[in-house]
Amino acid sequence: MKVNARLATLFISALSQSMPVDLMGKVARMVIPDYDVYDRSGFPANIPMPRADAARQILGDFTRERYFLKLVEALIDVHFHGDMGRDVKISLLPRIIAEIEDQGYRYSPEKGVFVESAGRERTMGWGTLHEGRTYEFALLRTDIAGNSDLVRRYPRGLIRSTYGNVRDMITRLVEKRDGRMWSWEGDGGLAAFYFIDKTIQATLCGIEILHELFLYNLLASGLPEAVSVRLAVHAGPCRFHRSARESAGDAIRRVEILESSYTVPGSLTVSPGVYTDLGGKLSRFFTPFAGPEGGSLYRYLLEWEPR
Amino acid sequence: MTIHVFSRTPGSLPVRAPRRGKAAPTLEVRQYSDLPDALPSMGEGSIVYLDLGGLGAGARGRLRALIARNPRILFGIIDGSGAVADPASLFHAGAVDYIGKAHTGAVLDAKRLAAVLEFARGARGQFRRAGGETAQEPSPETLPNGWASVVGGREHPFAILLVEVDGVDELKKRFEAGNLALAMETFRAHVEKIVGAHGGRTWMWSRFGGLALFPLAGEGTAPAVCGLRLLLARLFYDVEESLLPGFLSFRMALSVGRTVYHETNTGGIVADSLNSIFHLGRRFARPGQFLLTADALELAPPSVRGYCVPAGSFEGRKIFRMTQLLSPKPQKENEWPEEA
Repeated sequence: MKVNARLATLFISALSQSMPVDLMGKVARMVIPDYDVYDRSGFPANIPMPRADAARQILGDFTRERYFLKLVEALIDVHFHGDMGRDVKISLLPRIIAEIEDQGYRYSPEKGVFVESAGRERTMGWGTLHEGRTYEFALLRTDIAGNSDLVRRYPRGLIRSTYGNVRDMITRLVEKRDGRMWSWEGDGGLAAFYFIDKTIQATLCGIEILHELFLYNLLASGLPEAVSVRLAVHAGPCRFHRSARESAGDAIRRVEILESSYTVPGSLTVSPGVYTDLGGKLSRFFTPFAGPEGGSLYRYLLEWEPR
Repeated sequence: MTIHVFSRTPGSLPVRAPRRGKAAPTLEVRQYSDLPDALPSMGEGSIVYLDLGGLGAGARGRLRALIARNPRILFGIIDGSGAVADPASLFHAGAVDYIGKAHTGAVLDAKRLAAVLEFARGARGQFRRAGGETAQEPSPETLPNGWASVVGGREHPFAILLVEVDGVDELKKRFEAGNLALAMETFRAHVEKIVGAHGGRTWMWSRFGGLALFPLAGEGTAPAVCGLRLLLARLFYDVEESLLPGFLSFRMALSVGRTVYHETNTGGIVADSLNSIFHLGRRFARPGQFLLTADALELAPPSVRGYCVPAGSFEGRKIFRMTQLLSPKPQKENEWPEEA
């Protein structure tokens, strides 16, 4: 995000009025672990640095390296939780937050981060992830089952509109749970969830897709037969790129394998790591089945009593 | 709630008004001369007490005929001098309460009115069923503009969905009253959200359930779809919204019928359609089931009808059942983990 002159002035004033230089350095290291304001500025380490100069240096460094929002998130954390039991109040903090929110972000207290506000275009990295860095994600892979058969049997226009409806529905359900569609190619796609409870949100999203698709088939689909999807959720580290094709990691390969090789149409498969995160209630809805290398995978299937 | 009292001597009634309180009814006492004008403007289920003090045998006979002619009003009789030799004859004419000489000074309080309403619901419903009048609900007209067509105090056709939590006694045993009340509030909010999204409104809601009304408009497919969505949303309620440690079971019943609509103060409303849906939900439905009467099923989309199976008959009506969702697996009436 862009740090304009008003925001820069507010930030420098807030930092220099609220904490000594050593605490500024400590807060900065919450974001960049090896950050040293003396080293960066060339100021002699044996002479006390004026607070305003230190604040200005930190602002310049963090803006240049695109970590400004992370730094403000760290300041908010210190403001509300203190430093090692010491109360630290950051003056002008509400005005800094308001200024950032004017630029299309909103602070989420539950997540402790700034995210894109509702009216703003949603980006793949929620406006907070850094290109090329590795993060922990929960990944939801979706695929329309029997695509080739459907394409062969029905008119192209009908298939296009049906797939468009399914894609819109999946995107809506993913974004409702603060996930992002990273890619969609023809009959399936990949969604990512990043914030707190990401595995639970990805799993619930998968279940909700199955339920909504059931209702879509029942009430709205123009196809004479039901559209069915295969879904899989896996969590793990992944290098983030704004181009989904470049995003890489074992987690992406694994979720693709779970979906294509271990998932029956109309069901959701979750990996053992995801299953253990689900908690007592949600895990009760899953049944184990044999996975790769003698291990177990877990399945949710929307099933009705025989009529 | 207002109780209308008509008397020749309003200043010396042999009954008393209750002390003021939040739930206390209000007595509105008037002369008999006001009765002809007042009666037509009263809604169905209004409560009217007639004081027989100072009336001769002829006037008492005319009042008995008035009661019989106005079954939509709930009449009580105040007979402080014991002038009526056979009080049962008043009930045969349609009265729902009698305060005789031995009970001079009785208080017309909320407790008595609750008993009167309960009696009226039971007695009137049974009398009419015995006559076969409600074996089949009348064909409903429609309300093309939905809620915009509904006028407070008037009778309209609705699809009526009963939603009620199962195993209430067990819940009361397991959870502290305040916590349980909070938990039930989240359930109500969950139902309201889904009902609202389908054009309905929750109505007559008590702690553990209540009704949802959908004005009958056009083809009226929304109520059955709403019930189906409530079944599908149960998992999300249990996992994301419920304050209880286990899984909450609830039953549903859907029918079509007519009732007077009041947004609030629904305590005085008496309608066969309401008796019928409460009976179906409480006496016939089993935990976790979603039942539909034949007329409600007819309004459902054909694809939804395909998920319903015959479930027998109840009070002369054919009943259908939505097939059970097997995921989550069907559970016993409210299943709770040991640590709950």
